Amino acid sequence: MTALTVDQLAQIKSDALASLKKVADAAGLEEWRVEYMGRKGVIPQLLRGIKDLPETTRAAMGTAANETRSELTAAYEQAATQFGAVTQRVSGTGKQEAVVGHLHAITETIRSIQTIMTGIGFTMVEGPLLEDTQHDFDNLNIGPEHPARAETDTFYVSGGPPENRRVLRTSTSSVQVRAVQELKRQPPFKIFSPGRTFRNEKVDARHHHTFHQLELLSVGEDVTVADFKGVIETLFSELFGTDVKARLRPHYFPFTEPSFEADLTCIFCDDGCRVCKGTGWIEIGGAGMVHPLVLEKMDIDPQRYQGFALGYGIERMAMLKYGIDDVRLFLDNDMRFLRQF
Amino acid sequence: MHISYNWLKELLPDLTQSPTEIAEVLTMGLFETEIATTIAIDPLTTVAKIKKVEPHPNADRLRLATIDTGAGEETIVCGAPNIAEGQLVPFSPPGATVRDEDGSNFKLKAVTIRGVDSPGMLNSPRELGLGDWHGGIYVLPDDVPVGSRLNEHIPDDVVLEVELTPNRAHDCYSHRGIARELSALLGVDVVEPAGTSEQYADLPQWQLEVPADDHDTRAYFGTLLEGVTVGSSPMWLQARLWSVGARPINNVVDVTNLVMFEMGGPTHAFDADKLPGQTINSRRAKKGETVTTLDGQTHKLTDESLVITSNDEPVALAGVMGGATTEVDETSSRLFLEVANFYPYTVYRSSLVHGLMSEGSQRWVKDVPTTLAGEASDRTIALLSEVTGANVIGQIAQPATQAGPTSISLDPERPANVAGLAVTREQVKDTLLRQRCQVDDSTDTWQITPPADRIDLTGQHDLVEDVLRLVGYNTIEPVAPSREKLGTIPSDVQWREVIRNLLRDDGFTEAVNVSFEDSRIPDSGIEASEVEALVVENPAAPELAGLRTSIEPTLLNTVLGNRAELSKKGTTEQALFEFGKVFSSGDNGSVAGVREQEQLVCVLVGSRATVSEGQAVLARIGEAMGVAAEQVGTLREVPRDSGLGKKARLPIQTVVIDFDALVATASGEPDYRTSHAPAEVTYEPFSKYPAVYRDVSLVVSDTVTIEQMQESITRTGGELVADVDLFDEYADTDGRQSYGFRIAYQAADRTLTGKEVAKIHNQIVQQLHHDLGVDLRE
Ligand SMILES: [Zn+2]
Repeated sequence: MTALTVDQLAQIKSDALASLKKVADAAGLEEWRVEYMGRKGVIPQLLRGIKDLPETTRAAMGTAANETRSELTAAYEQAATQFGAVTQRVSGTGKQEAVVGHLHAITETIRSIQTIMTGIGFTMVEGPLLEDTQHDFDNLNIGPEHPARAETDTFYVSGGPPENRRVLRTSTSSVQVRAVQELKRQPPFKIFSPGRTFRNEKVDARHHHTFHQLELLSVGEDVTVADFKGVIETLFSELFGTDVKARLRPHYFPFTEPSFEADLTCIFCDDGCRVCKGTGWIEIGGAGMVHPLVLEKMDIDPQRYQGFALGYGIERMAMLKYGIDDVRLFLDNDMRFLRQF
Repeated sequence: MHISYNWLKELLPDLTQSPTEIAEVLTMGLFETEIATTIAIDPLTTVAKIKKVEPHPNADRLRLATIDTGAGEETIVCGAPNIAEGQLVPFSPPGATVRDEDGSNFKLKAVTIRGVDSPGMLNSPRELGLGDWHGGIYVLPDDVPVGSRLNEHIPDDVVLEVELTPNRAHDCYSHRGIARELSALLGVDVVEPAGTSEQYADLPQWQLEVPADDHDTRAYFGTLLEGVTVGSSPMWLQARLWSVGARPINNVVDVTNLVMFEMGGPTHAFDADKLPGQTINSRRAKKGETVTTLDGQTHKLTDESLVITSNDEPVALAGVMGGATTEVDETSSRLFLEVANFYPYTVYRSSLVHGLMSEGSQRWVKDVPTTLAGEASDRTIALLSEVTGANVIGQIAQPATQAGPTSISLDPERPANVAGLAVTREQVKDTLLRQRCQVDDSTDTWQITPPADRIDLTGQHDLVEDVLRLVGYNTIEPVAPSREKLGTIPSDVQWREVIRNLLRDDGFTEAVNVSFEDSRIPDSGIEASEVEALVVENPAAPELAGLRTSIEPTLLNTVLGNRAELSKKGTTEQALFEFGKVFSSGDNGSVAGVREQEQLVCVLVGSRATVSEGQAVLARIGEAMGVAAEQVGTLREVPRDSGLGKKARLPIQTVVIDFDALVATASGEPDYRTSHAPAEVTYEPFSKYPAVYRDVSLVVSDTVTIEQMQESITRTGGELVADVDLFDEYADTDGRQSYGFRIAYQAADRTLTGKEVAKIHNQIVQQLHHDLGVDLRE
């Protein structure tokens, strides 16, 4: 960022307010929000740049930029009520106002997912964290000799029959069968399930034995890969507040075929940065078209129906959304972390 | 898996793409691939012959090697134990680039070592960038011309790292496998490695006891060869092995390794004259049997160990590693070559039980196609004849029982319907043909016969995947989702969110802890519930074995961990809560014998930790959910003299709520509207080292502002000042104004010492006086 003066900032503010006045509908308002207040928007960029300013001007610019944000936020919220648009909370207004606490970053991320996914017709479901191997593996086409079963670092819980042992679920996919077969859902349906999952991995900045996943499942007569791409582009564009495109690479999961690894266009740059390692793409996770055997386990006829499923890490989404660099922070419960959200 | 670009070029002579382009094609078409390393021996490095080896006059462990470089004689100081007169070795003169032990390159200079000049050095493989062996100088085969450049024999190469997925490792764990895939993706032809096509004589003296249709050993070819001369492999073969990071051993072992890296089929050669007898079997071991593997380890065998036996005596750990007693060495002249096929899970268990993994076992566990055994056997025999001069005496064999190729029905419209993309019948046919399938499109429903090694192709969905993969996933355009119908959120989840909002608005901060109860948490003095805890058999750490039966202990531990923050003077952070599942023996739904319940625990600390505050929390939740306050949950106090109370040194009240039960009794509907805030917060990192707090009370004239003082403090303290809080403010009796600041000192990279803090704190006080004329209050 080039070093701005307070005067130039005032100019930006008046430009922004002037262009807000010209906004005629909800779509225009959203464009305005993305331009000024979105992740790559003018104001957030300014705020991020403050820490790099020389100390002499840092404090003054910080105050001015924060004031500008508050004013623009207020103006935006007013305009939003005018157009009946969904109000997007544009900016944290700081923690001055009395004693309001904080929700956890994972909760905030799941709430964003709830908003976005219900908005495109997905219904939320939940399932147990303590599962059995039938639901965690067998129903997902992972038999006793399947390599995925050996490679997964599963936590086993004592008790339970040896042929159907108790496990802490290794993914949210076990919810699929429970939500569909046990509730006798028939296609078409669209469900999503955010929740806690476990793998016995060594804890470091990128891995934890306890984490959260988002499961999506959409099944119908003509649910296609094209629909899948549309859903993830919508989910992540709205989650990050900036337009992203998806790219699919071949991969393998026992419960989907074809299986993909999905990448998103980098939300931090246009031409390569540290986060995307200069590639312009950010890996977001695995997905695919539901394997016919898994559909059968849900009592769905694979001759007639097809659909997609995905399981993405919620910590990963929160890390990208908030710029968090260490997965351990989510479960460390340090007040200095918790109070930032 | 390492894949050599040169090797690929040999199998795909028409390949025009660069290594970087190949990596991209594979990544987007099948496996994530990147460039792992390059092989580039300096052109100055040549082949030299050692004429004489003498002791170094001033160093016991060094020797002087007089070498013929082809252009003259040099004397080189050398520390390697394995040099001897007559050897051919790599020689790098000053100016040549060689590799350091940490993998970086450096340019050689002429040096003097212990008083003797050394114009260059003799090299180990690692110094040449070949593998990581550094146990001695690389001794070259006898027929390499002295004075020739080493990179003529080991040409420059680029090595790719290909990340195989489990569904295709059975046919792609080799150069030929990857070459076949590139052939399909790029439309270039593969030159298949040549094997013998002879019919071998029987071996009437020998007997193979492996039954047909055996579960563990699905195919077995044993070939007896004579006339073998064991020695160094020719340079072309050594170069191939180096390119995948394998060290040449001798021509017999090298050939078997080459075939594995080339075709994916592990093979093993025994010294036929060291075998106890001529009756060969592959069976599960009996209790009490042992075998010593090539690495010198002796294994006690179990019924999970699959062994090769000779006259019923174990001579190898099948599929994992050969035995030491039958190892091929310079004296060997007859070989018994084993090319078999072992059941993946059997090898997996045996490898696990014996804690032994090899390149071979890693391939077997991926389910090597049974049809490969015959092919790999023919190829190995051809190469052994070429490289070691071996002649085949005869063969005993139990080929795999082959079911004829099964065809798969395919609706040619199916790929288009799955993708949501127009895929023509021509495209479907073309992509399948490129993957070596036979396509019968004479009827509405096509019949597709996959090649024998594609054991992953069993149903229509498998074909659909491979058609779309070659058409390209990224030719599929996204379709925006419909917004016509909204999805719903279950009512218990909505209640949770309503209460989260209520607590946040009431000053509570949400914690999220793991589901395991840490046994090291100090006792809170609060009576534990009577339920029976469930135990993790393989916990992440010994203290994390118990699944939590209540959130209360973990959340109290969170209070302990945040004691410094929560007990700051004047803080408004005095309340935490956590929602989560708790577990115990019992039954309430999904998994038999398991009770899994949603719990809510709130903790109040410091001046908020009063009974009336606790009751107010219960009342507010009760009001929101239409439940009488006393029905909501239980309120308890942590005794100050309990283990935890003593450590916390804070008043603590807890509120424990069985949230499932509460939801069941709730009246009315939860009024939860989802909210989504697009990325308005950017996380700011904080030090993981503790902050040290110092207070300062200042007496100032009324022209000085709080901001000026704060600015002076942060400027002087620089990065060591994490926070400046005004905690006190009052007018003295003499009319002067006093302010109390609490300064938090903290470094990002270390715990500050008392001395450091005292020093910076003093500087701050002095600078405040200098800048603003303020003084410490007496
Ligand atoms: Zn980037």
